[in-house]
Amino acid sequence: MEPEIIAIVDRVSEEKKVDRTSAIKILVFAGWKELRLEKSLALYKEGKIAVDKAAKIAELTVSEMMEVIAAHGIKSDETLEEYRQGVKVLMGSV
Amino acid sequence: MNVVIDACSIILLAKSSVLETLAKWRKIIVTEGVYNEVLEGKNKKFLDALLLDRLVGEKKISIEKKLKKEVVQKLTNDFGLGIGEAESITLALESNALMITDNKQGRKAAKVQGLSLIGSIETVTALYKTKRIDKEKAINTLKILKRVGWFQDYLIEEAMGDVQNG
Repeated sequence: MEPEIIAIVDRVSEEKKVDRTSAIKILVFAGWKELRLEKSLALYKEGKIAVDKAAKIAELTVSEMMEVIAAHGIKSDETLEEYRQGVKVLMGSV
Repeated sequence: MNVVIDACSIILLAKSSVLETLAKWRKIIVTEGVYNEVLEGKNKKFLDALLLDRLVGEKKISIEKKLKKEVVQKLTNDFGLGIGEAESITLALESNALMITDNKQGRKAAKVQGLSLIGSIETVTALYKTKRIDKEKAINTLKILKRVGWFQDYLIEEAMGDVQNG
């Protein structure tokens, strides 16, 4: 293992007060979560998946995934025309 | 006419505190998949999960379980939807209901299926225009939705204008 990787493991081990094996597990898990999130965000941004599917991939709740999407500045693409139509539809249908 | 709401919009309407008001106006139906998706936040004490759980418990929101699985599967595959989103579109189609969704991909799929689309912002405007919420409540609700950061500014501004001038 490269010295800089060992240094990271040792730092996590010290900060979390755990042995090296546990520190590696923590790092692998955190890296895994990050990779899942990166993948789900990219697919969502490309318009290939919906929010609930993105949440599943990222292993987050839908509510958490929505916060992550908003934090990345990705907005709904609803148009003004759709908004106006939506108001009419909801008010007009009884 | 009944209203089907997906997880995304249940969360937004709950956070902006108009979900219960909407339930008094329209019969709201959610699918089992949407219910499960939102309730995943219950352990974390998310407001949206706790509110949906209560409204379902009080029978103010209904859950629909029987749906054509092949339609749900096709929507999941064709549009990259999660189970809840695909079920919601299927339910709106099968029951000829209105659909409220703010989910980008869900809106695309619903449009292809010929459904009339409604989002959370226009729901707030409609609640105000039909006098179910007053001006102050409508403005506060729109401010909350702005803070959530999900919508384009021009949509919030248009709705604010409708409320201010309404």
